[in-house]
Amino acid sequence: MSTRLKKADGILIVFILFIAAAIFIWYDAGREQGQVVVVQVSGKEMARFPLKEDRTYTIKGKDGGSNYMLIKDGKVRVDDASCPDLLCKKQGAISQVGQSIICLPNQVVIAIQGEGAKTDATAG
Amino acid sequence: MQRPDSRKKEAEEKLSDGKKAQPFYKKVPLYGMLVALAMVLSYVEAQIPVFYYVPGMKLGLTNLVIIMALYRLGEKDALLLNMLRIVLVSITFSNVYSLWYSLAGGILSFIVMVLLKKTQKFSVMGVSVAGAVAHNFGQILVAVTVLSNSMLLYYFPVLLLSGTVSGFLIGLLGAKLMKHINYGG
Repeated sequence: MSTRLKKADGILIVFILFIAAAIFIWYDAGREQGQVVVVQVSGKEMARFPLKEDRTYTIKGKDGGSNYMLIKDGKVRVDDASCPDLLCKKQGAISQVGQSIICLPNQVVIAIQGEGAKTDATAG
Repeated sequence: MQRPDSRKKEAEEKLSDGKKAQPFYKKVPLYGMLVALAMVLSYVEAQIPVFYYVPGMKLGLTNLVIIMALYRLGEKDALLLNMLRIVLVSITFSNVYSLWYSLAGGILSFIVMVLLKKTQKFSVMGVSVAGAVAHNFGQILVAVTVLSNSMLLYYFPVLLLSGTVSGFLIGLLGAKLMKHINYGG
């Protein structure tokens, strides 16, 4: 089996890198400081909080799972969770519009929205 | 320049024909070992935490077995091995929800690899890169559907890059291994 690259390989790789770069640039253009934290479980919105106020919130995920969410200094992150891999914690803090923290086992999505979004501080 | 190339291709075709004619009792132990190998590689990969910072990012060690099966044993048998290892790995190492991610990624990746291989214009590395990227794409589609959140696509460019690098390395490793291993003999 030859380990030499063919012309089509090069075209394929350049094509993939081009698409990746295009999506990166597209995301970057729409980037702004977020205002609202939206918590979704299984696609349904559970709560939303202003990003400016420091607070903690325990998200009840699917099948009894939970994620411990922390809003501090205009950023949100997950500090602890019931899932074994703790991917949500490793994803770190987010603050930009369009960014999100995702926990697949608990089907939890924490997303940041911009100024236009309404805030319901009483939720949860 | 063309003759040795075409002769090599002929030899390869003969080889895979020979493999297909293998009796069932010879296939069972070989395929059993290959599925076991794929499972072990999945487990080994799960022990490397650095690839888990972005959901879906991975090395794709298991694809080494699948891509070698695709080139050496033919499409049908590679598909069989692929399905077996997806189901067995999901049952053994993870939970049911991950089965859908693996199935979507595994099947899409397999279709893309078979199609690219058939054009005969791509090397093993090219086929592997396309397979890796298709795998990421399939998984992200399932994630978008399950979580009904299109923001997951945010991760796609990162996965495109990681998939290209890991797919290339796995393809290169596979091509080098296939030079030296003539399994089923």
